[in-house]
Amino acid sequence: MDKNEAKKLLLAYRDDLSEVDNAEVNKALKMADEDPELKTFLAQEQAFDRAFTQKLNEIEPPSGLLDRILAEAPDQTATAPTQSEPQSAKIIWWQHPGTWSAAACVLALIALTAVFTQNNSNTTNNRADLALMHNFAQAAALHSPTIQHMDFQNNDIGEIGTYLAKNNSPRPQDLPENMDQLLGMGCLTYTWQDNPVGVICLKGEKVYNLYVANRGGIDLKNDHPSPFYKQFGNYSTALWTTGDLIYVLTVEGKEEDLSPLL
Amino acid sequence: MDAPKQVNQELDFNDLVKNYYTPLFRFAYSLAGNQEDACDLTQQTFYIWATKGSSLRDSSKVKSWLFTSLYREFLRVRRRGQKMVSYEPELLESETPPVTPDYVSSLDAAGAVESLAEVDEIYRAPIALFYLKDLSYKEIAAALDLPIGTVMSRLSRGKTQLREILVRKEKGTRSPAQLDESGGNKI
Repeated sequence: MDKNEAKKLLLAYRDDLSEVDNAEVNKALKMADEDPELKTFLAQEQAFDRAFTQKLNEIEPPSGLLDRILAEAPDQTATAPTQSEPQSAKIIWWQHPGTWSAAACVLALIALTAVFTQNNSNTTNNRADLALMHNFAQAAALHSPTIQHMDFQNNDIGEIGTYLAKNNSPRPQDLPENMDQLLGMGCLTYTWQDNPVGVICLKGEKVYNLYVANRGGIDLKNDHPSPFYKQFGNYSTALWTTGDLIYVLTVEGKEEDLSPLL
Repeated sequence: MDAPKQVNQELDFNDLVKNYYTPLFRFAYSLAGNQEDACDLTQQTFYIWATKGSSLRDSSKVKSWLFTSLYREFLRVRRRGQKMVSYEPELLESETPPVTPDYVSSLDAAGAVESLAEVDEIYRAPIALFYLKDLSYKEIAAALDLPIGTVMSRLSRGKTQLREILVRKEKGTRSPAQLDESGGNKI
Protein backbone atom coordinates (compact mmCIF):
# COMPACT_ATOMS: atom_id res chain seq x y z
CA MET A 1 0.00 0.00 0.00
CA ASP A 2 1.45 3.37 -0.97
CA LYS A 3 0.71 6.72 0.64
CA ASN A 4 -2.02 7.69 -1.79
CA GLU A 5 -3.88 4.43 -1.20
CA ALA A 6 -3.53 4.93 2.53
CA LYS A 7 -4.92 8.46 2.23
CA LYS A 8 -7.97 7.21 0.36
CA LEU A 9 -8.72 4.77 3.17
CA LEU A 10 -8.07 7.34 5.88
CA LEU A 11 -10.50 9.71 4.19
CA ALA A 12 -13.32 7.31 5.01
CA TYR A 13 -12.13 6.64 8.54
CA ARG A 14 -14.37 7.44 11.46
CA ASP A 15 -13.78 6.60 15.10
CA ASP A 16 -16.35 3.82 15.18
CA LEU A 17 -14.70 2.00 12.29
CA SER A 18 -13.51 -0.58 14.79
CA GLU A 19 -16.87 -2.31 14.32
CA VAL A 20 -15.67 -3.22 10.85
CA ASP A 21 -12.84 -5.68 10.66
CA ASN A 22 -10.96 -4.10 7.81
CA ALA A 23 -7.33 -5.13 7.53
CA GLU A 24 -6.62 -2.50 4.89
CA VAL A 25 -7.80 0.34 7.10
CA ASN A 26 -5.84 -1.01 10.05
CA LYS A 27 -2.78 -1.08 7.84
CA ALA A 28 -3.37 2.51 6.75
CA LEU A 29 -3.77 3.58 10.39
CA LYS A 30 -0.52 1.86 11.29
CA MET A 31 1.21 3.64 8.41
CA ALA A 32 -0.18 6.94 9.72
CA ASP A 33 1.33 6.17 13.10
CA GLU A 34 4.76 5.74 11.59
CA ASP A 35 4.74 8.29 8.78
CA PRO A 36 4.72 11.98 9.81
CA GLU A 37 3.10 13.09 6.53
CA LEU A 38 0.25 10.59 6.88
CA LYS A 39 -0.08 11.42 10.55
CA THR A 40 -0.54 15.10 9.72
CA PHE A 41 -2.95 14.20 6.93
CA LEU A 42 -5.09 12.10 9.27
CA ALA A 43 -5.08 14.77 11.97
CA GLN A 44 -6.15 17.43 9.48
CA GLU A 45 -8.80 15.16 8.06
CA GLN A 46 -10.26 14.44 11.47
CA ALA A 47 -10.24 18.14 12.34
CA PHE A 48 -12.09 18.81 9.11
CA ASP A 49 -14.59 16.04 9.89
CA ARG A 50 -15.23 17.37 13.37
CA ALA A 51 -15.82 20.88 12.02
CA PHE A 52 -18.17 19.65 9.34
CA THR A 53 -20.07 17.39 11.73
CA GLN A 54 -20.50 20.33 14.07
CA LYS A 55 -21.89 22.44 11.24
CA LEU A 56 -24.45 19.80 10.23
CA ASN A 57 -25.47 19.28 13.83
CA GLU A 58 -26.20 22.98 14.12
CA ILE A 59 -29.16 22.46 11.80
CA GLU A 60 -32.39 22.71 13.72
CA PRO A 61 -35.77 21.77 12.27
CA PRO A 62 -38.19 24.65 11.84
CA SER A 63 -40.19 25.30 14.99
CA GLY A 64 -43.52 24.11 13.57
CA LEU A 65 -42.33 20.81 12.15
CA LEU A 66 -42.85 18.67 15.23
CA ASP A 67 -46.43 19.88 15.65
CA ARG A 68 -47.10 19.42 11.96
CA ILE A 69 -45.90 15.79 12.01
CA LEU A 70 -47.92 14.95 15.10
CA ALA A 71 -51.03 16.76 13.94
CA GLU A 72 -51.14 15.25 10.47
CA ALA A 73 -50.10 11.68 11.29
CA PRO A 74 -52.64 8.93 10.66
CA ASP A 75 -54.55 7.62 13.66
CA GLN A 76 -52.12 5.35 15.47
CA THR A 77 -54.85 3.22 16.99
CA ALA A 78 -55.45 1.82 13.52
CA THR A 79 -51.96 0.36 13.31
CA ALA A 80 -51.50 -0.94 16.84
CA PRO A 81 -51.70 -4.74 16.61
CA THR A 82 -53.41 -5.06 20.00
CA GLN A 83 -56.28 -2.84 18.95
CA SER A 84 -57.13 -4.33 15.58
CA GLU A 85 -59.47 -7.16 16.61
CA PRO A 86 -62.89 -5.87 17.74
CA GLN A 87 -64.22 -4.39 14.52
CA SER A 88 -64.93 -7.51 12.48
CA ALA A 89 -67.71 -8.87 14.73
CA LYS A 90 -69.82 -5.75 14.23
CA ILE A 91 -69.95 -6.02 10.45
CA ILE A 92 -73.13 -7.63 9.12
CA TRP A 93 -72.88 -9.87 6.04
CA TRP A 94 -73.90 -7.39 3.37
CA GLN A 95 -71.45 -4.83 4.72
CA HIS A 96 -68.61 -7.33 4.66
CA PRO A 97 -65.94 -6.37 2.12
CA GLY A 98 -65.65 -10.03 1.10
CA THR A 99 -69.26 -10.07 -0.06
CA TRP A 100 -68.67 -7.12 -2.32
CA SER A 101 -65.39 -8.58 -3.53
CA ALA A 102 -67.14 -11.81 -4.44
CA ALA A 103 -69.90 -9.91 -6.23
CA ALA A 104 -67.31 -7.88 -8.09
CA CYS A 105 -65.50 -11.07 -9.10
CA VAL A 106 -68.72 -12.59 -10.46
CA LEU A 107 -69.46 -9.43 -12.46
CA ALA A 108 -65.90 -9.32 -13.73
CA LEU A 109 -66.13 -12.96 -14.75
CA ILE A 110 -69.37 -12.32 -16.62
CA ALA A 111 -67.83 -9.30 -18.34
CA LEU A 112 -64.70 -11.24 -19.27
CA THR A 113 -66.75 -14.12 -20.62
CA ALA A 114 -68.72 -11.69 -22.78
CA VAL A 115 -65.55 -10.08 -24.06
CA PHE A 116 -63.94 -13.38 -24.91
CA THR A 117 -66.99 -14.77 -26.66
CA GLN A 118 -67.43 -11.62 -28.75
CA ASN A 119 -63.84 -11.25 -29.87
CA ASN A 120 -63.12 -14.39 -31.83
CA SER A 121 -61.04 -12.39 -34.29
CA ASN A 122 -58.50 -11.72 -31.58
CA THR A 123 -58.26 -15.32 -30.47
CA THR A 124 -55.35 -16.23 -32.68
CA ASN A 125 -53.38 -13.15 -31.65
CA ASN A 126 -54.17 -13.78 -28.01
CA ARG A 127 -52.97 -17.35 -28.23
CA ALA A 128 -49.76 -16.26 -29.91
CA ASP A 129 -49.30 -13.53 -27.30
CA LEU A 130 -49.97 -15.92 -24.44
CA ALA A 131 -47.36 -18.33 -25.75
CA LEU A 132 -44.78 -15.54 -26.09
CA MET A 133 -45.63 -14.12 -22.69
CA HIS A 134 -45.35 -17.56 -21.12
CA ASN A 135 -41.97 -18.14 -22.77
CA PHE A 136 -40.54 -14.75 -21.82
CA ALA A 137 -41.77 -15.03 -18.25
CA GLN A 138 -40.35 -18.54 -18.00
CA ALA A 139 -36.98 -17.37 -19.34
CA ALA A 140 -36.93 -14.63 -16.71
CA ALA A 141 -37.88 -17.09 -13.95
CA LEU A 142 -35.10 -19.44 -15.02
CA HIS A 143 -32.58 -16.63 -15.35
CA SER A 144 -33.30 -14.94 -12.00
CA PRO A 145 -31.71 -17.61 -9.74
CA THR A 146 -28.55 -17.57 -11.87
CA ILE A 147 -27.79 -13.89 -11.28
CA GLN A 148 -24.43 -13.84 -9.51
CA HIS A 149 -23.38 -10.26 -9.98
CA MET A 150 -24.63 -7.00 -11.43
CA ASP A 151 -22.90 -5.00 -14.14
CA PHE A 152 -23.73 -1.77 -12.34
CA GLN A 153 -24.66 -1.15 -8.73
CA ASN A 154 -26.74 1.84 -7.73
CA ASN A 155 -29.78 2.56 -5.55
CA ASP A 156 -31.33 4.96 -7.98
CA ILE A 157 -33.52 3.52 -10.72
CA GLY A 158 -32.95 6.66 -12.78
CA GLU A 159 -29.20 6.12 -12.72
CA ILE A 160 -29.72 2.46 -13.48
CA GLY A 161 -31.87 3.40 -16.46
CA THR A 162 -29.14 5.73 -17.72
CA TYR A 163 -26.63 2.90 -17.48
CA LEU A 164 -28.89 0.50 -19.37
CA ALA A 165 -29.52 3.05 -22.12
CA LYS A 166 -25.79 3.62 -22.50
CA ASN A 167 -25.38 -0.12 -22.92
CA ASN A 168 -28.07 -0.42 -25.57
CA SER A 169 -30.58 -2.12 -23.33
CA PRO A 170 -34.19 -1.07 -22.82
CA ARG A 171 -34.81 1.01 -19.73
CA PRO A 172 -38.02 1.16 -17.72
CA GLN A 173 -40.29 4.11 -18.45
CA ASP A 174 -43.50 4.26 -16.45
CA LEU A 175 -43.42 1.79 -13.62
CA PRO A 176 -46.41 1.18 -11.35
CA GLU A 177 -46.38 3.69 -8.53
CA ASN A 178 -46.32 0.99 -5.86
CA MET A 179 -42.94 -0.11 -7.16
CA ASP A 180 -41.52 3.18 -5.88
CA GLN A 181 -41.24 1.57 -2.47
CA LEU A 182 -38.53 -0.75 -3.84
CA LEU A 183 -34.92 0.30 -3.61
CA GLY A 184 -32.70 -0.18 -6.64
CA MET A 185 -29.72 -2.47 -6.18
CA GLY A 186 -28.25 -2.46 -9.66
CA CYS A 187 -28.68 -3.97 -13.09
CA LEU A 188 -27.26 -6.21 -15.76
CA THR A 189 -27.89 -6.76 -19.42
CA TYR A 190 -29.31 -9.97 -20.80
CA THR A 191 -30.37 -11.32 -24.18
CA TRP A 192 -33.48 -13.34 -24.88
CA GLN A 193 -34.03 -14.69 -28.38
CA ASP A 194 -31.62 -12.07 -29.73
CA ASN A 195 -33.52 -9.29 -27.98
CA PRO A 196 -31.63 -7.03 -25.56
CA VAL A 197 -33.19 -7.14 -22.12
CA GLY A 198 -32.42 -4.85 -19.20
CA VAL A 199 -32.53 -6.59 -15.82
CA ILE A 200 -32.95 -4.38 -12.76
CA CYS A 201 -32.48 -5.84 -9.30
CA LEU A 202 -34.68 -4.26 -6.65
CA LYS A 203 -35.04 -4.75 -2.95
CA GLY A 204 -38.11 -4.50 -0.77
CA GLU A 205 -39.45 -7.18 1.52
CA LYS A 206 -37.74 -9.54 -0.91
CA VAL A 207 -35.35 -9.26 -3.83
CA TYR A 208 -37.13 -8.66 -7.12
CA ASN A 209 -35.81 -8.70 -10.67
CA LEU A 210 -37.42 -6.55 -13.31
CA TYR A 211 -36.87 -7.56 -16.94
CA VAL A 212 -37.48 -4.90 -19.57
CA ALA A 213 -37.59 -5.63 -23.29
CA ASN A 214 -38.79 -3.89 -26.40
CA ARG A 215 -42.20 -5.17 -27.28
CA GLY A 216 -41.49 -4.98 -31.00
CA GLY A 217 -38.65 -7.47 -30.74
CA ILE A 218 -40.83 -9.99 -28.94
CA ASP A 219 -43.68 -9.33 -31.35
CA LEU A 220 -46.65 -9.12 -29.03
CA LYS A 221 -49.78 -8.23 -30.99
CA ASN A 222 -52.00 -6.87 -28.24
CA ASP A 223 -51.60 -4.57 -25.27
CA HIS A 224 -51.47 -6.32 -21.91
CA PRO A 225 -51.62 -3.53 -19.35
CA SER A 226 -52.90 -5.83 -16.61
CA PRO A 227 -50.34 -8.16 -15.05
CA PHE A 228 -50.29 -11.74 -16.28
CA TYR A 229 -49.15 -13.93 -13.37
CA LYS A 230 -47.43 -17.26 -13.79
CA GLN A 231 -45.62 -19.47 -11.32
CA PHE A 232 -42.48 -21.34 -12.41
CA GLY A 233 -41.18 -23.54 -9.62
CA ASN A 234 -40.16 -21.37 -6.67
CA TYR A 235 -40.39 -18.21 -8.75
CA SER A 236 -43.46 -16.16 -9.35
CA THR A 237 -43.63 -13.84 -12.36
CA ALA A 238 -45.86 -10.99 -13.47
CA LEU A 239 -45.77 -9.77 -17.05
CA TRP A 240 -47.35 -6.63 -18.50
CA THR A 241 -46.85 -4.12 -21.28
CA THR A 242 -46.74 -0.35 -21.25
CA GLY A 243 -46.32 1.47 -24.54
CA ASP A 244 -43.50 -0.13 -26.48
CA LEU A 245 -42.07 -2.01 -23.54
CA ILE A 246 -42.77 -5.39 -22.03
CA TYR A 247 -41.94 -6.04 -18.38
CA VAL A 248 -41.52 -9.18 -16.33
CA LEU A 249 -41.15 -8.89 -12.57
CA THR A 250 -39.85 -12.00 -10.81
CA VAL A 251 -39.53 -12.95 -7.18
CA GLU A 252 -38.73 -16.09 -5.27
CA GLY A 253 -42.15 -16.51 -3.77
CA LYS A 254 -45.81 -16.42 -4.66
CA GLU A 255 -48.09 -14.19 -6.68
CA GLU A 256 -49.05 -12.48 -3.41
CA ASP A 257 -45.49 -11.16 -3.21
CA LEU A 258 -45.88 -9.40 -6.55
CA SER A 259 -49.48 -8.25 -6.75
CA PRO A 260 -49.24 -5.48 -4.10
CA LEU A 261 -46.54 -3.84 -6.22
CA LEU A 262 -48.50 -3.77 -9.47
CA MET B 1 -23.49 8.77 18.63
CA ASP B 2 -26.52 9.45 20.77
CA ALA B 3 -28.72 6.60 21.89
CA PRO B 4 -32.38 7.46 21.61
CA LYS B 5 -34.83 5.72 23.88
CA GLN B 6 -35.12 1.99 23.30
CA VAL B 7 -38.29 1.36 21.38
CA ASN B 8 -40.75 -1.49 21.36
CA GLN B 9 -44.18 -2.17 19.99
CA GLU B 10 -45.79 -0.10 22.72
CA LEU B 11 -43.68 2.93 21.87
CA ASP B 12 -45.76 6.01 21.75
CA PHE B 13 -45.78 7.61 18.33
CA ASN B 14 -45.19 11.04 19.86
CA ASP B 15 -42.07 9.78 21.61
CA LEU B 16 -40.80 8.23 18.42
CA VAL B 17 -41.24 11.50 16.55
CA LYS B 18 -39.61 13.52 19.33
CA ASN B 19 -36.64 11.14 19.47
CA TYR B 20 -35.90 11.03 15.79
CA TYR B 21 -37.33 14.01 13.95
CA THR B 22 -34.26 16.20 14.42
CA PRO B 23 -31.65 13.73 13.10
CA LEU B 24 -34.01 12.74 10.29
CA PHE B 25 -34.56 16.37 9.37
CA ARG B 26 -30.80 16.95 9.27
CA PHE B 27 -30.36 13.98 6.96
CA ALA B 28 -33.27 15.14 4.78
CA TYR B 29 -31.86 18.65 4.62
CA SER B 30 -28.45 17.29 3.64
CA LEU B 31 -30.02 15.29 0.81
CA ALA B 32 -32.54 17.79 -0.47
CA GLY B 33 -30.56 20.98 0.15
CA ASN B 34 -33.59 23.02 1.14
CA GLN B 35 -35.74 23.29 4.23
CA GLU B 36 -39.15 22.86 2.61
CA ASP B 37 -38.36 19.55 0.96
CA ALA B 38 -36.56 18.42 4.12
CA CYS B 39 -39.71 19.08 6.16
CA ASP B 40 -41.85 17.16 3.69
CA LEU B 41 -39.42 14.23 3.63
CA THR B 42 -39.29 14.08 7.43
CA GLN B 43 -43.05 14.24 7.77
CA GLN B 44 -43.58 11.63 5.06
CA THR B 45 -41.13 9.29 6.79
CA PHE B 46 -43.20 9.35 9.98
CA TYR B 47 -46.36 8.98 7.95
CA ILE B 48 -44.92 5.82 6.41
CA TRP B 49 -43.99 4.62 9.88
CA ALA B 50 -47.51 5.30 11.11
CA THR B 51 -49.02 3.27 8.30
CA LYS B 52 -46.45 0.49 7.92
CA GLY B 53 -44.01 0.63 10.81
CA SER B 54 -45.95 -1.68 13.07
CA SER B 55 -44.92 -4.55 10.78
CA LEU B 56 -41.30 -4.07 11.88
CA ARG B 57 -40.52 -6.97 14.16
CA ASP B 58 -37.04 -6.06 15.33
CA SER B 59 -37.49 -2.98 17.51
CA SER B 60 -33.74 -2.36 17.64
CA LYS B 61 -33.85 -1.49 13.95
CA VAL B 62 -36.34 1.35 14.17
CA LYS B 63 -33.68 4.03 13.70
CA SER B 64 -32.19 2.33 10.63
CA TRP B 65 -35.72 1.73 9.32
CA LEU B 66 -36.53 5.44 9.57
CA PHE B 67 -33.32 6.54 7.85
CA THR B 68 -33.78 3.92 5.13
CA SER B 69 -37.38 4.99 4.57
CA LEU B 70 -36.41 8.63 4.34
CA TYR B 71 -33.69 7.85 1.81
CA ARG B 72 -36.10 5.76 -0.29
CA GLU B 73 -38.68 8.50 -0.12
CA PHE B 74 -36.08 11.01 -1.29
CA LEU B 75 -35.20 8.80 -4.26
CA ARG B 76 -38.88 8.21 -5.01
CA VAL B 77 -39.78 11.89 -4.98
CA ARG B 78 -36.78 12.81 -7.04
CA ARG B 79 -37.47 10.05 -9.54
CA ARG B 80 -40.98 11.37 -10.08
CA GLY B 81 -40.08 15.02 -10.20
CA GLN B 82 -36.72 15.61 -11.75
CA LYS B 83 -34.52 14.56 -14.58
CA MET B 84 -31.61 12.36 -13.69
CA VAL B 85 -28.05 13.58 -13.66
CA SER B 86 -25.48 11.16 -14.93
CA TYR B 87 -22.13 10.92 -13.27
CA GLU B 88 -18.72 9.55 -14.00
CA PRO B 89 -17.17 8.30 -10.75
CA GLU B 90 -14.02 7.17 -12.48
CA LEU B 91 -13.28 10.75 -13.49
CA LEU B 92 -12.98 11.93 -9.92
CA GLU B 93 -9.57 12.92 -8.72
CA SER B 94 -8.29 10.97 -5.78
CA GLU B 95 -6.07 13.76 -4.47
CA THR B 96 -7.75 15.70 -1.68
CA PRO B 97 -7.39 19.44 -2.08
CA PRO B 98 -6.56 21.31 1.12
CA VAL B 99 -9.25 23.40 2.78
CA THR B 100 -8.37 26.04 5.32
CA PRO B 101 -9.74 24.78 8.66
CA ASP B 102 -10.87 28.29 9.49
CA TYR B 103 -13.01 28.30 6.38
CA VAL B 104 -15.10 25.33 7.55
CA SER B 105 -15.53 26.98 10.92
CA SER B 106 -16.58 30.19 9.24
CA LEU B 107 -19.39 28.48 7.36
CA ASP B 108 -22.86 28.55 8.83
CA ALA B 109 -24.96 25.37 8.84
CA ALA B 110 -26.82 26.42 5.70
CA GLY B 111 -23.52 26.98 3.93
CA ALA B 112 -22.35 23.51 4.89
CA VAL B 113 -25.57 21.99 3.55
CA GLU B 114 -25.29 24.08 0.40
CA SER B 115 -21.82 22.65 -0.22
CA LEU B 116 -23.02 19.14 0.50
CA ALA B 117 -25.92 19.58 -1.90
CA GLU B 118 -23.41 20.15 -4.71
CA VAL B 119 -21.79 16.76 -4.18
CA ASP B 120 -22.97 14.13 -6.66
CA GLU B 121 -26.04 12.47 -5.29
CA ILE B 122 -24.49 9.01 -5.26
CA TYR B 123 -21.98 10.24 -2.68
CA ARG B 124 -24.22 12.68 -0.82
CA ALA B 125 -26.21 10.21 1.26
CA PRO B 126 -23.15 8.28 2.56
CA ILE B 127 -21.35 11.52 3.38
CA ALA B 128 -24.35 13.02 5.17
CA LEU B 129 -24.78 9.88 7.26
CA PHE B 130 -21.03 9.77 7.92
CA TYR B 131 -20.98 13.31 9.28
CA LEU B 132 -24.27 13.20 11.13
CA LYS B 133 -23.01 10.17 13.08
CA ASP B 134 -26.48 8.86 13.83
CA LEU B 135 -25.68 5.51 12.21
CA SER B 136 -22.70 3.21 12.42
CA TYR B 137 -20.91 2.02 9.30
CA LYS B 138 -22.93 -1.17 9.30
CA GLU B 139 -26.16 0.77 9.67
CA ILE B 140 -25.17 3.16 6.89
CA ALA B 141 -24.44 0.18 4.66
CA ALA B 142 -27.82 -1.35 5.56
CA ALA B 143 -29.73 1.91 5.08
CA LEU B 144 -28.24 2.46 1.63
CA ASP B 145 -28.27 -1.24 0.80
CA LEU B 146 -24.58 -1.26 -0.08
CA PRO B 147 -21.62 -3.37 0.98
CA ILE B 148 -19.43 -1.63 3.57
CA GLY B 149 -16.54 -1.53 1.11
CA THR B 150 -18.68 0.40 -1.36
CA VAL B 151 -19.78 2.79 1.37
CA MET B 152 -16.14 3.47 2.17
CA SER B 153 -15.09 4.05 -1.41
CA ARG B 154 -18.03 6.41 -1.91
CA LEU B 155 -17.08 8.24 1.26
CA SER B 156 -13.54 8.63 0.04
CA ARG B 157 -14.61 9.95 -3.36
CA GLY B 158 -17.44 12.04 -1.99
CA LYS B 159 -15.24 13.74 0.57
CA THR B 160 -12.74 14.56 -2.14
CA GLN B 161 -15.53 16.14 -4.12
CA LEU B 162 -16.76 18.04 -1.08
CA ARG B 163 -13.27 19.42 -0.55
CA GLU B 164 -13.12 20.57 -4.15
CA ILE B 165 -16.40 22.38 -3.71
CA LEU B 166 -15.24 24.03 -0.49
CA VAL B 167 -11.94 25.06 -2.06
CA ARG B 168 -13.83 26.61 -4.95
CA LYS B 169 -16.11 28.47 -2.57
CA GLU B 170 -13.19 29.57 -0.45
CA LYS B 171 -11.55 31.06 -3.50
CA GLY B 172 -14.81 32.76 -4.35
CA THR B 173 -15.06 31.21 -7.78
CA ARG B 174 -18.17 29.85 -9.36
CA SER B 175 -18.74 26.42 -10.85
CA PRO B 176 -18.63 25.91 -14.65
CA ALA B 177 -22.36 25.22 -14.54
CA GLN B 178 -23.00 28.54 -12.84
CA LEU B 179 -20.82 30.29 -15.36
CA ASP B 180 -22.78 28.71 -18.19
CA GLU B 181 -26.09 29.76 -16.66
CA SER B 182 -25.00 33.35 -16.24
CA GLY B 183 -23.56 33.49 -19.70
CA GLY B 184 -20.47 35.18 -18.38
CA ASN B 185 -16.95 33.89 -18.79
CA LYS B 186 -18.18 31.26 -21.22
CA ILE B 187 -15.63 30.36 -23.84
